[in-house]
Amino acid sequence: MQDTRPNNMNNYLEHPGEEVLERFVLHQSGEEELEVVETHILACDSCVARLENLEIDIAATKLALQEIKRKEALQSQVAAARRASWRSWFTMPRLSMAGGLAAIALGILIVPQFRTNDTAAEVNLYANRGQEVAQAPLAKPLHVVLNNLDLPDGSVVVKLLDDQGKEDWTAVAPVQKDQVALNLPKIQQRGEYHIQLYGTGSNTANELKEFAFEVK
Amino acid sequence: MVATQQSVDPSASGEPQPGQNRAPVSTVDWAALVEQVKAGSDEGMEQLYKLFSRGIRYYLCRQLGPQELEDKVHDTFLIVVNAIRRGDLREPERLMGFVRTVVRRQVAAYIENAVQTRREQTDLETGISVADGNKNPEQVAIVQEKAELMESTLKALSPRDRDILVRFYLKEQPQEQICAEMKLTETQFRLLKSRAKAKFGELGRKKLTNNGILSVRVRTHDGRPH
Repeated sequence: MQDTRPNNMNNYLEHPGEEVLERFVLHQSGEEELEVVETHILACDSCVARLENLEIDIAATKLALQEIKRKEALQSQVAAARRASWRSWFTMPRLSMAGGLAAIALGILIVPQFRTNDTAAEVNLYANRGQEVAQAPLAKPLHVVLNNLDLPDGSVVVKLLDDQGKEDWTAVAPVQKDQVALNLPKIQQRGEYHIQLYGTGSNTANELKEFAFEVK
Repeated sequence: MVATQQSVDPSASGEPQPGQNRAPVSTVDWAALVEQVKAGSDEGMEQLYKLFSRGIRYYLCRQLGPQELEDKVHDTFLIVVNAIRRGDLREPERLMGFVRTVVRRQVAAYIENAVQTRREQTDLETGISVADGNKNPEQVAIVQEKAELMESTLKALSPRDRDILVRFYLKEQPQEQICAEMKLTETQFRLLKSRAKAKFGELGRKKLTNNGILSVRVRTHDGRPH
């Protein structure tokens, strides 16, 4: 049990600098630095207090940066959707404009009689529901709420996969109060679909949750 | 990043000046302390406990989570005290390093035990104890409040500056990697971080002043370290 390392007592007695403590909190200290910091903090209450404050500050910084990234991702999604919609207008062949207008006129006259309700269908999925598979309607926009996530508030990457495992849609969404709410595009093919949640940042490879539902 | 209250007036908060001050522990007479513990003196035991209890508690909590923390701290002290009494610590001035060795071995033993238990109970899903990184509700509230304050400051940074912070704090990339990939010198990297921290501190100060918290805190602080 005797400590046989060289006696660098002076290093242990000095309060470490802010950068050193920050590296310690972020698990980035090298071996030698770790030895000095760990030994020091075991006997220094004021540095423990500094570390506790630093942990809170780093957690707050992470949260703020995540929130900014989430908002940026949402903004870029909206912008991309807008661009796509404008582009489709400009790429439409001119000759089809006349046909298009005619179709609109016809639509105004006829379609109201056959109009179907195109509001989003509500789908609630639960993490702990055993074998029960929720159902969603075909060719309708879906408002999906993922419940009982048991995940902290923050952001997750969401992927929609078909029964072949092909990725149909992806987005970054916020986790709030143990829930994630999603607006999925219309699904045009019947079958079983999966929604997978992944971490953001360095955790993008970590699958956190998976939900299944059937489109009929 | 920056602790807003401490950055207001370091002397008032009892914060050490990093790299300059020596910890109070530098005045400890290690030989006398070890002799007292060896002799079973209550005074010696009390001093040993005062010296190391907060540090050991913090270290064990960081490594193993808050579950059964008091028991673990107690076990660690028992091991240290018994080892001293047996004469395992031959050079008293190495007590700090000795305690670190004991604590690290304790952590390794708890982890090994948890892994073993998990192996034996794979079918039962009993919820093996792992480090619980979650903060308590009060800390969560503080983190959220600070995050809201920080958001506007972070948004005001240039995308490149913000990318540096994202890499360091969110992706936890080492400083060397960030500097290499973004063609930054170490000084530029430090400067950016310290500028951001200063802004957070400024915002926090304003907020605290507006809430009247700062003035109360400064008035009532007795200058003792935490």
